[in-house]
This record gives sequence, structure tokens and C-alpha cells, in this order.
Amino acid sequence: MAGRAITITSGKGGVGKTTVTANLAVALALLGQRVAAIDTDIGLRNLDIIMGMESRIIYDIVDVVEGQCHLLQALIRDKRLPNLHLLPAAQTSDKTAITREDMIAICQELKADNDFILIDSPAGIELGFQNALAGADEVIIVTTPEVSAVRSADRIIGLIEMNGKGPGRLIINRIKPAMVKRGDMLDTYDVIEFLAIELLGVIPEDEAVIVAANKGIPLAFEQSTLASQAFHNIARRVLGETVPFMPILEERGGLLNRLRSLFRF
Amino acid sequence: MNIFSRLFGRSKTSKAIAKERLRLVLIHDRSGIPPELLNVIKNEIITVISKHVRVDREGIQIRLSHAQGLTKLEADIPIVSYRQSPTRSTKQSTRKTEASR
Repeated sequence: MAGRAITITSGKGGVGKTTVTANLAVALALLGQRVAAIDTDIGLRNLDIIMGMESRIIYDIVDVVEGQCHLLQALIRDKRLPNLHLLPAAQTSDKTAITREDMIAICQELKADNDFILIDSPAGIELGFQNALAGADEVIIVTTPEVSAVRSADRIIGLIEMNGKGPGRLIINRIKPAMVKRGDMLDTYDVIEFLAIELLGVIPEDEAVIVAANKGIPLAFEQSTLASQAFHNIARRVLGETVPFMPILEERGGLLNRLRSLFRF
Repeated sequence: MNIFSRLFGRSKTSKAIAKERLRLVLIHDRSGIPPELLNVIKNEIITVISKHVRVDREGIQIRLSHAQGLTKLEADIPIVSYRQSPTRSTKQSTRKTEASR
């Protein structure tokens, strides 16, 4: 059976697209899925860093498109998970180096040997985003609970629908329960009310994400924190399971829920 | 920021302000209609309606709203009276219309 290509995008930069892509890739791979992650942020590659594969790049996506190598030669296999691969972006080329047709062809080829193709989109709504969207069967939109990020997400949802790839599903990243509690942060319900698309997951702000990025070991390799648990829940929802949302969604009762989540592991 | 002023409704939470601002921005973003165009539309509507009825110019509100995938242009136009009988109130005028039919 052919794999599913999922593009992870946001419009606004810095909301956590690459972190979500890396962790969803790891979580899906840990669940036994064959996963290929593609970094389409040409000129500003980062997925390799987050996944800890930056020292192993020989060829990149532009080399594949230009015929310098075969697709399989450019794929980097994860040392921990043999069913997880990365196709890195080029660091020195520009966005015009690949076309939509190139992306469609690469996704098509990867689908033969993988259950999931995760496409990490660059920020913005220009060519890079259009390319990232071209090969997608589904789209995940990442936002944070901030006015600017939600506005960008709304715009991107409109563009995704115009491209016939909509409506997509939403991940709300970096929720801070304490700020929500004192009325200084939009909560999950507020964001959903504005964007009116299906919620795929909510990820709490977690310092462990930065520690994981420092080490090049995505958080999802362990299930020791709330954020890591959130990534695993998202992976299972992508696989079609019904997984209840974490207590982080509930505005009140933060302490009780935090205790509960401590005992869960 | 002060919890007491919030409790007594003296200041809004920053979340409430965020929601208000976001709501307006999204309505205009989604429709592609900039706020300045609404003012042009408002003046033209006043011109047309004023030919037939006397309206309360100050009370007129033209705004965009969005619900269930549809963007709507909403106009609240308080009518002061009919042109033909400027002394009567709106309510009386309405009754008169129904009676004459």
C-alpha cells in the first residue's frame, strides 16, 4: 500500500514546524511505521540538526533533483531507528532549485517504500511553501496561541483550501497552562473557535524541547515529559486511533492534572 | 495584571483583548475587504436610502461578519421617519404601512 504524504506548515516562522516534524517522524517510527522526513527549507535547512543527522549529509534534495545522485543515496537512515530516514534540504542553493513537479515526483517515489512522508515546509507563503504543499495528501498546520501566529495560520488555511489540499488539521504548540490560567494566553478552545479546523494535538511549552535540540535527539525518543507524550498522542491520532486530549487542554485544575500525568508513566 | 482590578471588571485580560483584535483582523483578512472600503460603502448606502427614508446617520453601522464559512456585510440603519411624513416616529410609520396594505 502506498504511503501518505503529510506537509507540516504554519505561515509564520518560529512556531515549531521543524520540531513537530522531527518528533512526529520519531513517534511514528517508534510505532513501527516506515517514515521518510523531507526538509524543504532550501537555503535554511534545520531538520537535520534537530534530528541529529547534520554530520552525515552527503547529498541533498537539490542533488536529487539535478540528477547528481539517486534518491536512495541522498536518504540518511537514522542510527536508532532503521525505519526512519531524512532527505535533507540544500544549504547553498535557493528556492527556485526545485519545482512542484520535482516534489511530486520525489514524494511519489518515497511512497513506494514508506508508510509516511513528512514534509517540513519553510515559513512564508511563497514558492517554498507551494513546493512543500505540492506533494501533500494531507496537511498539518502548526500554530502557537498568539495573535500573530493564529492570523498567519488562518491565512495559510485559506491558501491550503485554494490548492485543494484542505482543510488540514491543527497542532497548537507551546501552550503555557499558567498563562492560560491567569487569562494571559489564548487557550485551545479560543484558537479552534477562530480557525475552525480539526484539532490534531496540543503541545505544552517544555524546556526539554530545547535540551533535545541541543543534543540532536528528538524528545519523542523518550516519553518522560508532557510534550513528548503529546507527540506520541499526535502520532497515534495520525494513525487513526482515538486518543483523548491531555489535561493540558483543560483550563482549570492544572495542579491535579499535573499530578495525574506524573503518575501515568 | 492586577487580579483585583480584573475581578471587579475594571480591566480586561490580555486574552480578551487578543480575541477582540484577532476577530476583527481575521474578518477583514478573510474577506479581502479593507476597513477603508467599508466607509465608502457606508456613504453610498446612506445616499441611496436617504432618497426614501430619513435615517440616523450617526447610528449607522456597517460591518463585516463571518459565520459558517460565509462572510456577510451587515448594515444596521436606524430609520428616523419616512420622507413623506417626517413628524412621525419609525414605529408609527411601520404601522401605517401595514394598515395601508
